[in-house]
Amino acid sequence: MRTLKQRLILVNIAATGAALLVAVTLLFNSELRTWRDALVRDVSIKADIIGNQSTAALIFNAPKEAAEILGALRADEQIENAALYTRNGMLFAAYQGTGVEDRAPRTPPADGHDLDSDHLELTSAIHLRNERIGTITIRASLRQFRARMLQYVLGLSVIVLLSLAAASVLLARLQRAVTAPVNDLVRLMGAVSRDKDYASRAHGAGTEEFSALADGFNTMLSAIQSRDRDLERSLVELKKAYEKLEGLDQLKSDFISTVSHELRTPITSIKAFVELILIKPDMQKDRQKKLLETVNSEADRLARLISELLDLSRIESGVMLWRDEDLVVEAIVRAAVAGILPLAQKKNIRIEERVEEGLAVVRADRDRLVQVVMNLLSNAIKFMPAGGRITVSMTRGDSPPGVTVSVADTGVGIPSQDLAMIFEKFRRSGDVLTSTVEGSGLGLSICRQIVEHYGGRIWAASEEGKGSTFTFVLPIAGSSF
Amino acid sequence: MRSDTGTVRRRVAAAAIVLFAAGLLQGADAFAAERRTSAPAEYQVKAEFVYNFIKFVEWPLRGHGGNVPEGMIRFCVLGELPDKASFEALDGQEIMGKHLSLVFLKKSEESRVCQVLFLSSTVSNSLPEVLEVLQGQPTLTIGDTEGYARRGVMINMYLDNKRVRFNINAETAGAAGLRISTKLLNLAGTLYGVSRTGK
Repeated sequence: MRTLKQRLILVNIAATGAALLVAVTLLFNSELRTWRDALVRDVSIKADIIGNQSTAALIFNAPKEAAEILGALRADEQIENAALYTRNGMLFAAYQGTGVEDRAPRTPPADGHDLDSDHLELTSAIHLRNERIGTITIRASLRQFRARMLQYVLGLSVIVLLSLAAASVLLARLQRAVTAPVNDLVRLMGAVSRDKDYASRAHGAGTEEFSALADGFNTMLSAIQSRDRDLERSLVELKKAYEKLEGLDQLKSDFISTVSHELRTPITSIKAFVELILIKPDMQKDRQKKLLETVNSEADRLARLISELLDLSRIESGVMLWRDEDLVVEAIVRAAVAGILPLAQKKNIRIEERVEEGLAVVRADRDRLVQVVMNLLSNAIKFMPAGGRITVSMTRGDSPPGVTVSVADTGVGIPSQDLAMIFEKFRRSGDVLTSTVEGSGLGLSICRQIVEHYGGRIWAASEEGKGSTFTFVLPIAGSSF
Repeated sequence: MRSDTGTVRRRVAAAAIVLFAAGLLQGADAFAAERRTSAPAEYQVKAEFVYNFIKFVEWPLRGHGGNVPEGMIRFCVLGELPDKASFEALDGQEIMGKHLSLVFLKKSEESRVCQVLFLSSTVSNSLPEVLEVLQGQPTLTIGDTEGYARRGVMINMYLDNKRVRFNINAETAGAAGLRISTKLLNLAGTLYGVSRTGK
């Protein structure tokens, strides 16, 4: 298949060639006619002059003088022969050019001229005082005429060829203006399909059509590119959603199995003790009372677990009712400490409070905040050996303005690899199933939900063997992290 | 008066001659047709020559004091002719839109009114007087006698190998104010006074 460049050049050469051919043909024809007319006129004038010169010779019957007059035609080497005839059509005098074999005809041809491919034969009347006294015939060779014609044709051919050559050279340069934008576009298209690089753009240059083409191409590319981007984004989102769903599914399975386990443990012991009492009605009162106390405590644990589950579920599903009011953090901590004190005294654990001056007021649900602090305190007590000490510090958070509450214990501490996950549901440091420590594993999770509900943050820091510090920050009303 | 009666007489004579010539011409035509292939009679050729000479000669615009009628060329013959009929055939012939009028003169003095004057060999002796009479007159003189051209006759015919040829005295023609065409001059056997021809 031809390239656009070749086709352009071909079309232009064809058009130029055709135009040149028409022009040259017209020129040649007109020139030919002009030359032929000029030749006929020239010979005709010669015939007139010679005829006029010969009038006396014809009339006074002087053929020798007539032949002399005819001899003047020698000057024109195109003239092959000539003849004078009397009024009666008798050959009177003749002239024959040197090296010419043809003789003039014996009788005069008809008046006028006869042009064949080789010769011009012209015959005209000779008049004297309006009276025809004879005839003159001149026969001229067209050899010179044809040589001139041939030369002319050669010249024209050279001109045509030179013009075409010049046109070709020019076209080879000028065609670029037309083909370059197309080639650019083709190259760009190739690059786009090869590299899938839909960010490339065509630069519309040259003519209106090419600009339109480039624009159209660019529009197409943009459409492809934006669709591509959307697809990619959707894919990423889908993947994220999928991963999240997968995680959630796993979490849900884990949650259900943990919850089932947590629920079953107290029920198992309750059921076992109750059955024991039923089987042995004669059991000592003391022993029976001890068993029932255990049953009671297990039921409490069950009730606490269920209430915590309900809290968590309420917070997560957004149906929790928050009764927000302006609170003084000191009072909250005091309430929590008061609530947890019996548990602490049982393990001989001291609780100290440190309060910085000028703490801001926070806006939150009182019961929930007390719950957070109590959770942290009970956690600390649970994981602490007897005779430890808990320090609750309340400080100002400056940037952003808020209140920081930290609960530091002197317990076993938390391995650093566990720090990140202790705020998740049913996660406890160590193995849940083998742990001797009681607890639902939901407490810290609930704390985080509450703190985060108020735009705060909660985190833990620990050093194994030296104790842990749980800290949360609440922004004062009107600011947030 | 004398000239009147002379004119009348001449006219009658001319008419008679014309009638005679017409009859003769008819006979001559038949005769000529019969011998067309052979050479025509000498005087027939000479008459034709004379007729044709006129075509190659230009007369001055104001010649003969205006006493030549418009549309007429007076062709006079002085002396005796061996073949009068050949010349008489010229009478009334049209030439350049004018009619040739043939007149046979008796006296040389009458020659002054002629545009063309043929001098036969019989006037050879009185030739100087005749030419004297024509001095300054635009009259074309023609002869057919040896030595005439040299002696002052403008065109003089002679036979050369049975062909009629002529000599020209361009000097006398020029002096008379006549212009003889170079075409004719070129055909002259001998040309006299050529250096003074032209203007």
